[in-house]
Amino acid sequence: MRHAALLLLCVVAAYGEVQDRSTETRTFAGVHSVVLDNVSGTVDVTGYSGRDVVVEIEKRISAESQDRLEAARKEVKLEATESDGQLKLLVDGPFRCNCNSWGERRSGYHVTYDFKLRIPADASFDVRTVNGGMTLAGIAGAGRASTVNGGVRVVYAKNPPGAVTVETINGDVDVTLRRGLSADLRMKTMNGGMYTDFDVTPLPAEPPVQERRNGKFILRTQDAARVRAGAGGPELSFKTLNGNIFVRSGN
Amino acid sequence: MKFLITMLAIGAVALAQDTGDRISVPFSDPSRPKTVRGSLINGCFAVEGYDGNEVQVETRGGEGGPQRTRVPRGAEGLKRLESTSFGLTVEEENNTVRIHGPASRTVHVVLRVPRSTTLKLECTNSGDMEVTGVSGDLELNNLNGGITATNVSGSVLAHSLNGKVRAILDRVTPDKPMSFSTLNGDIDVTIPADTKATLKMKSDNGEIFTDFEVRLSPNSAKTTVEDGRGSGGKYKVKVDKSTVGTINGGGPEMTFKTLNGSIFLRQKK
Repeated sequence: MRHAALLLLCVVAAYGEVQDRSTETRTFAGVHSVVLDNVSGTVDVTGYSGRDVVVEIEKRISAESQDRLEAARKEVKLEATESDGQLKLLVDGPFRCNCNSWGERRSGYHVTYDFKLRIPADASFDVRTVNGGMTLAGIAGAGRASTVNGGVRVVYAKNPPGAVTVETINGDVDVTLRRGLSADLRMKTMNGGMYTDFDVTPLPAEPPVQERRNGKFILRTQDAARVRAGAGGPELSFKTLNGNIFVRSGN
Repeated sequence: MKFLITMLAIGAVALAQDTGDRISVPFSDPSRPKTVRGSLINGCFAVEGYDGNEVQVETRGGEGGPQRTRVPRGAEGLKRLESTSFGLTVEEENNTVRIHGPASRTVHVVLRVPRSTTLKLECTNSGDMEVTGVSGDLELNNLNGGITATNVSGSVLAHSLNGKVRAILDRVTPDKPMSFSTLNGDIDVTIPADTKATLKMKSDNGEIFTDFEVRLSPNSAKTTVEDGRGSGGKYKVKVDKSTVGTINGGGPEMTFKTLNGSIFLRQKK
């Protein structure tokens, strides 16, 4: 439903007559975990040696009228909360609500948020968007990055200490890790290939998923590729539906 | 009901060769008639009857089908990984085991089934179908590959489009009609010498051979008349050029039909 709404928003956007663009930079201190939940727009994360999280936000609105533009300014906002060292950024708006009917969804505007985050390199992260690509560079933490329409490019400065998940539906997953990686990789794509230049050894196939439903006994074998790099370690899971997966060893 | 699921994980080389899955699926009631159904888009089945009560499913990576030989941009200098597993789904319900394969990869599925099992299998691309040592009602369809059934008994319906159809039957269930057809390929069927049947054979661009004593029906040419004149259409008379005859005094109908190929009907010695 949400996707359908977004599609509709995009159509509206194409005919938008009034544009607005605003930028903002915010700094949050003492953060070791970053959560970002975006819907339309790109997310770029860079790890650095500082301890603050610096967020550059670019908000773009295109609306069919000045009136709708004002509505977008009011209705779509970024909520930032911080507690116990965790920073949560949420782009909130009427599109978050699954309660509207189709007619009411014609909001007459489209809002895009592009984020540029500078985070402490070892901070953990959970960043997501729906329509937009993603890059994460110079990071060293565990976490999760997901989008639906767009590729995800990740470059690790230091291999992650914990589990990492990178997912998209339409786009490539391109991850660069450091030499001497010890991890278990789990990769899956439907329409594409999986490529690596790490020396990997295959892991045994996962046992089939068993299920009982209405008197049916169902067994599903798991078709993800599982390989071990080095001595094994945290699970690094890379997934796409329409795209390739690249796992590169950086120097 | 307690099921024993054995999962033999084969962790061989993922890089070059697919090694595949192995699953065993028991029937809920082994004493009742058993059925195995399966359909694959890319790849096909090899089925073997054995003395057991489970269906054993094994997958092998296949040649052909949608191969990705093109190296995408950005993959230069990288090795390609393949999953060792195929994402196969196997279901059991009411003594029927259903097997569904993935559409995006070519997979050959090797099945071991109890000797007495009803089979309903269909494949579309990249592979031949083979069935050995199974007795039951065998319904075998393979669109772009051949079908070979050896040492089977019961009844056989085997249909291909662009492949050869071969069947060797040890025993034939009396009173069950059988049918073998393809468009581009030969049909080669061996049945016990004492089989009673009424044969209906047709090859448009080939010939029909047999070592059976066939008593041809005198008026084997069947005509059908389409009269469309009342509604301004045409009047059409079609004469079916099938050869109709009986062996061993006649019995259930056995149909053989090909467009570009010959038909061989042999006596099992």
